[in-house]
Amino acid sequence: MVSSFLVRLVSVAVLFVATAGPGQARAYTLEACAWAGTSIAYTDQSGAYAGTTERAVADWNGVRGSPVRLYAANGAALTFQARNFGRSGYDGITVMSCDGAGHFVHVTSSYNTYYADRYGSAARESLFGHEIGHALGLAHTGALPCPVPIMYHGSDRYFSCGEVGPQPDDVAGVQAVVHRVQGR
Amino acid sequence: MAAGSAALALCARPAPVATERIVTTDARPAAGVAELTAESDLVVRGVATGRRRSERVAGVPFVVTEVRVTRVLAGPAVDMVWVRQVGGPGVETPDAPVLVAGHGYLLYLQRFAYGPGDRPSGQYVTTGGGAGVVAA
Repeated sequence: MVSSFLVRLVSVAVLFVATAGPGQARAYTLEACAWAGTSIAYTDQSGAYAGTTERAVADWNGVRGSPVRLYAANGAALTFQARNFGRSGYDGITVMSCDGAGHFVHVTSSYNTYYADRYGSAARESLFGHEIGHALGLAHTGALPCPVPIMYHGSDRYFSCGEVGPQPDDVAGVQAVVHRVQGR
Repeated sequence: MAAGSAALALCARPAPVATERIVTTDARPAAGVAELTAESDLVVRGVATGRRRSERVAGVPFVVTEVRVTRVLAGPAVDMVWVRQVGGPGVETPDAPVLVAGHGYLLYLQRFAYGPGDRPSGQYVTTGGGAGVVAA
């Protein structure tokens, strides 16, 4: 009787760890707004940062389980840029406008080059992977200690934890965004 | 008649209003009060006045708010500072709410500049983003 209970308890624990991973309990949080479809066009105006932007886009397009696909196009409602916003305290900024039906009208995700110019390639990729997450409808989430999702709010996601691309929780978040949009 | 009323009601329905929201990523999250203080050029208590100006940089709205200083806790003596924040009228900024006129704050501040050799702007930003603003 007791051994049967223990077997079930261990099974549940193993299932939980296999599903969530160590320290990876569900954490994603969604913005109130999202794109209407799963193919999302963007216009890249990030100039000297274009290579990093391409890698960050490839990280999202290549991650297992992601239901969305980003593609480059002129005049898209989603814009990526790299600008010097000065010592604002922020290395990335995403501005979103949302219509009354919960759909994005325009989104602009930016590197702040005041900080990003001092970052290495992987740190910039982590930063922009995070901004793309916002552009896909994800809000900040997670807390130290490591590991953290790419949607963790601070740059120590890379500098302390080494996270460069989207994590399983981030993908689950985008799946939830798409599920919500398709349910409307 | 009913169809006419329905059509009128449809026309009268206000068009969806686009709302703007800004999310920001901390370049260097502060771990606590000691770190916030160490990284700040100025720590003050003060009250936001009604004076503010707004500007857009590459599509990103910023607002610069005057704060009347009531007490300097660290840094040079000042009786007024201009605090620069992401945001503006009607813009949601969940990570670092914009200062509200008449409200008191404890502010951890860094001098704002566009680059290391930049001429001082006289503006400050909050240290660690939203962490550098405490309602008092």
